[in-house]
Amino acid sequence: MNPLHTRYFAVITGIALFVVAVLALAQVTLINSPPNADGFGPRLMPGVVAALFLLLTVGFTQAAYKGRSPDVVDNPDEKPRTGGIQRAAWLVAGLLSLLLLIPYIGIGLACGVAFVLFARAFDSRRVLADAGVGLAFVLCVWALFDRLLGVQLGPFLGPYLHLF
Amino acid sequence: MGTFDALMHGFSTALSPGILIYGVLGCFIGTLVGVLPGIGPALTVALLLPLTFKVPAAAMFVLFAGIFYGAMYGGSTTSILLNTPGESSAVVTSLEGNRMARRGRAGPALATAAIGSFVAGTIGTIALTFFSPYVVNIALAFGPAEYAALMVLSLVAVSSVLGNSVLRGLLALSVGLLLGFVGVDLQTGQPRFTFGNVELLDGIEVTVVLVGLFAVGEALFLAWQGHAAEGEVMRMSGRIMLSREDWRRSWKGWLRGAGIGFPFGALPAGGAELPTLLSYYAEKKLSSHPEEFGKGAIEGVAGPEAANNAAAAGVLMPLLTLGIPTSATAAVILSAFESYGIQPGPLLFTTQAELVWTLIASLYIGNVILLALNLPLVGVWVKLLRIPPHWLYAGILVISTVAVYGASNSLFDVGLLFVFGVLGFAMRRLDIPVAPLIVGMILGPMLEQSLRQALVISQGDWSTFVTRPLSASFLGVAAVLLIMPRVVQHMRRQRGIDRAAEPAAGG
Repeated sequence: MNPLHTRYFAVITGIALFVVAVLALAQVTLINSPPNADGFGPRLMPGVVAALFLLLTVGFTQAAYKGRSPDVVDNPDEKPRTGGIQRAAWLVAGLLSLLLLIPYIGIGLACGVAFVLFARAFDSRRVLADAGVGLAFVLCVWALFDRLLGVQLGPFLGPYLHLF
Repeated sequence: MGTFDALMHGFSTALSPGILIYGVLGCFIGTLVGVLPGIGPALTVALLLPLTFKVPAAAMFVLFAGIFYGAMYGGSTTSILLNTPGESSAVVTSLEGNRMARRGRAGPALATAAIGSFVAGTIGTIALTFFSPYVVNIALAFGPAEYAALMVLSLVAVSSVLGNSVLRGLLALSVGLLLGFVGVDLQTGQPRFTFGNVELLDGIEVTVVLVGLFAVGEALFLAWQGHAAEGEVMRMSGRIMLSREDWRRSWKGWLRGAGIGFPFGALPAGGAELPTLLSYYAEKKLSSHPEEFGKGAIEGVAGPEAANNAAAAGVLMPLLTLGIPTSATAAVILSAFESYGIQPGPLLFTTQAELVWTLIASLYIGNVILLALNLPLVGVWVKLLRIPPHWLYAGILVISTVAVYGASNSLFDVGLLFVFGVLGFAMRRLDIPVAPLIVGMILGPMLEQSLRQALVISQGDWSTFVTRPLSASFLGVAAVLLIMPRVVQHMRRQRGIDRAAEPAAGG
């Protein structure tokens, strides 16, 4: 499973983690250490871990660049089918629809819309069937959490749909 | 009160209808999530964390224990009939069990897995019952320095032993530790890693991280990969019972599996991957039919399944006696304890004795319930495997979002959930283990607190960690675990070079 060439997804992930590590170190400098915290203030552990994280991201990126970091695409048993980006995009669209729609149409309908988009990400083309199953499922989940268990989810249909 | 009396008292509480119903529910949910691919015990317990505000502690932990054990039972059904191991510890079961199913022996494979799980789960629980008080006695002598060193050992072990690479394990661990530091430092009141965001002052909820990595990340990975609908569910074949010959070939494997599984689970570097593999190789070595291994040997299912369940019982020992989680599920259960304001550790056995012994008694009861749920009802569970994957994963994503949104009513948390989903996708694709991240996130703040306490006691003298014998021993073992994989790798490479050089020299 060790590829002999650079896998750019691993390299990009390594660089992204490196950027996060730099940001983390920058945040460490903003932590105020009270004068009475002799030797072990609130900055020490985060500083040590952030520095270690930075070093590890360098090591990871270097290994990825040299082709020593495994990627599923090099494993014949787990290699993705074509159209992976499109399928992932459908799923991300479902996630974004939840973020954008919950405040306007309520958690019930937003989850119903997202259910259809999630199902599409797994190659389902039967929009009506997915919508029907999705809404029925979401209604059950909402009734279980909100009504039966008392976990506050807000109305099934949101402020712009005064039906419930 | 002696151990036996305390256990009997635990049984009387666990068998009361108000608690027993949660035990049965937990076993049912656990088997369900064990059977369904893509949703494991850690994720399920995390999704149920919002309920800690509504349900009494004893009932909730009995529910979680049922889920924890039930998932082990249910996982074997999926491994055998679908050849899709839900967790890495079930890989061996799927190897031999699925071959047995293909040869028309799905029934005996399921039966040896369920009975083996029962036998080993019960042996593991007996060991947990009678060894825990001894561990508690030892742990009572621990000071903050010993605790800090033990946590370092546990973190190093989870990162370097369980994964395929020390570098990637430590990378995941450092992300987890940093996430654990987000929020206001409780000792000094200083905000850390909040990026000026008020919503981060309280820290990041472990539920958000765990659900993001396990549910959203896994779903994103499976959608991208596009193989979710390809698994072939094997037809149920053969009666779900063992012949005299099957019993003869299974029972020693169950006992050996339990003997291997429990100690490995109970170590601070717990986990079920290593003991299941060891059990598999032990059975292969000791079997009178080694030629059947790889083609569907019943010993290859009996031993590893037993080891898997005994290790699950073992994992509860460091969690309850030391407050150290050694798996992702144990880490979430620890955060559930914290939700109730209870700190697991040696004092738990005195301050919350009734809760602990009810929980342990419920494990015995759970094993019996699970045997009854799994063998006669296997047909029902098999039907679950036929749920179309696009509805299954859409449902998992919806429940995940609802649970996270329900816990805080915050869209910021839902956004974070998706960010961790993307991180989970990258980690899954690049073989970066998730367990060190979760355990690091939970143990990080506890480690920092112990370090501070130890330094206050020693008046700022760092040598306290190496001058106290126990603390020094823990740190020594941690150092060995960190260095050992590299040394072994180097030796293997050297041996490879020597072997390559030999024929050249000879020729």
